[in-house]
Amino acid sequence: MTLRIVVTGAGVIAPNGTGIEEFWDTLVAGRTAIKHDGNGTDDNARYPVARVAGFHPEDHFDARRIPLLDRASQFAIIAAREAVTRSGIEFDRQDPSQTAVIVGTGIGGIGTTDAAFKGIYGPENTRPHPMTVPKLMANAPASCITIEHALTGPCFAVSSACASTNHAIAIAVLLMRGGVARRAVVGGAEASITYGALRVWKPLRVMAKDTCRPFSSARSGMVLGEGAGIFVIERLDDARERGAPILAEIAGVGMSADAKAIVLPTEAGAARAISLALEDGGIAPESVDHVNAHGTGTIVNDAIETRALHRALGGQARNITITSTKAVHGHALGAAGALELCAVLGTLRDGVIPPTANFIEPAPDCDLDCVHGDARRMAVRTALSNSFGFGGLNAVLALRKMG
Amino acid sequence: MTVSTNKTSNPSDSSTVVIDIIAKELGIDPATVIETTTLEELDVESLDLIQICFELEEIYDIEIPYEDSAFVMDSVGDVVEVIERLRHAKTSGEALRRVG
Repeated sequence: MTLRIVVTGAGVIAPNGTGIEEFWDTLVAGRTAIKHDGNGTDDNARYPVARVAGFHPEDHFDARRIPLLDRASQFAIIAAREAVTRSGIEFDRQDPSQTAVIVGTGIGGIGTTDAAFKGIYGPENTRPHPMTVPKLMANAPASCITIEHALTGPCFAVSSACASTNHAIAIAVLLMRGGVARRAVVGGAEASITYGALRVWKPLRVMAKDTCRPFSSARSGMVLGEGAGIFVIERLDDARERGAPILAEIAGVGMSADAKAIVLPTEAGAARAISLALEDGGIAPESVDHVNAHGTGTIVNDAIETRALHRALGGQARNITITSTKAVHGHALGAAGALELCAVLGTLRDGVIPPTANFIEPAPDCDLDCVHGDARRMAVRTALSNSFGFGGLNAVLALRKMG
Repeated sequence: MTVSTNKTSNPSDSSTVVIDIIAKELGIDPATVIETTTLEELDVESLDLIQICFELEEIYDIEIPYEDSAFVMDSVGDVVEVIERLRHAKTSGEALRRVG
């Protein structure tokens, strides 16, 4: 029988809240964190984003340590602290080599890269800070967590664009099933809202002009977000033995590559990842109650995702609810799956589907029951969390309520 | 404690500046550091040394060559000596350029 793996702790820092409770309350209220905050003075980079506003690293870190940590690493460490505290796990009572740390990030420390290269390529050719390389590397968030909690098991970053977190969690689950690690600290972190990043995203023509309206009429694109979500995952028997809070079972994971186009997603690839997650968890499509959609708000994604859900779930697609919380927290790229897993954990706990904010009316090419307006109360036992990344990379988690 | 990082200020007393920078990086009282104190006694790690070198390079607008870098400095006085030498070399170089 497959090893059963559960989430025992969660932590989050996101544009709509720091800490699980604030994050969840704003989601349920449908209160978007997307703002037109004028990114500099340049029209080329002036479009809406969702930032972790009012964030002061000195509230969380010793002043001497701050220059060594990219914003993405700072987010990861803060979310990990909450997850570890909430799980109640005492790592000093465990074999540290049996805990894996795997953190997804789509881009890594681009804030550090951007600042250093701006100085180097600029007229002053400034001297780069000696910690530039260790700050910008994509594995820094994961490494920082191992250092803070003295965890010595397998540790690495996973990068698959917007699917990075779900791939990270899937890999952690497989390592645990394979006996390579007994437990894991997993999730995703991203902090990529820089002037340079905003400039290079724009010509791709996927950014929303007004705001993010997933599955809605008049949707015009995605909105960049940022943040981190980190989780402690354990074997069900271990969690029960130490009386840990059990937030959900990670019942199944599914991964696939479209192998078609570098940005255009395919219905077949997304559907296959969904089906594989169900198959992995021994879940019939008829058992699925709810899907936290990838739902970026782009014209293409939302239509393709709708078709993929029809293909994978068949007639059950008509019975499920979907929501996209990206309309509240923006698209956190490599951390998207992490913020969205936090949303799913709230749904399973409270039996509440947070609404898709900014929704006007159903788009003709998105015919699923997308919760909008007010949050909907509904018992959910089985939920999916979809992530589909550039490069045609898909990773889907199937979550089940315990008890 | 305030440490000037203004490149043009050209602080004359290298010893005070070096001690202040080391103390700031380590989060300790500069009064506890003297030139004969060894870096080992201060528990200076390689990362601290890299930061200290970077700060001193910024203040004096010099470049500490790898062979002079803190990796081969034993005491606070050694750091001061390296800084003094590099500052002198820089001043001489500038004087020579002015003459030439």
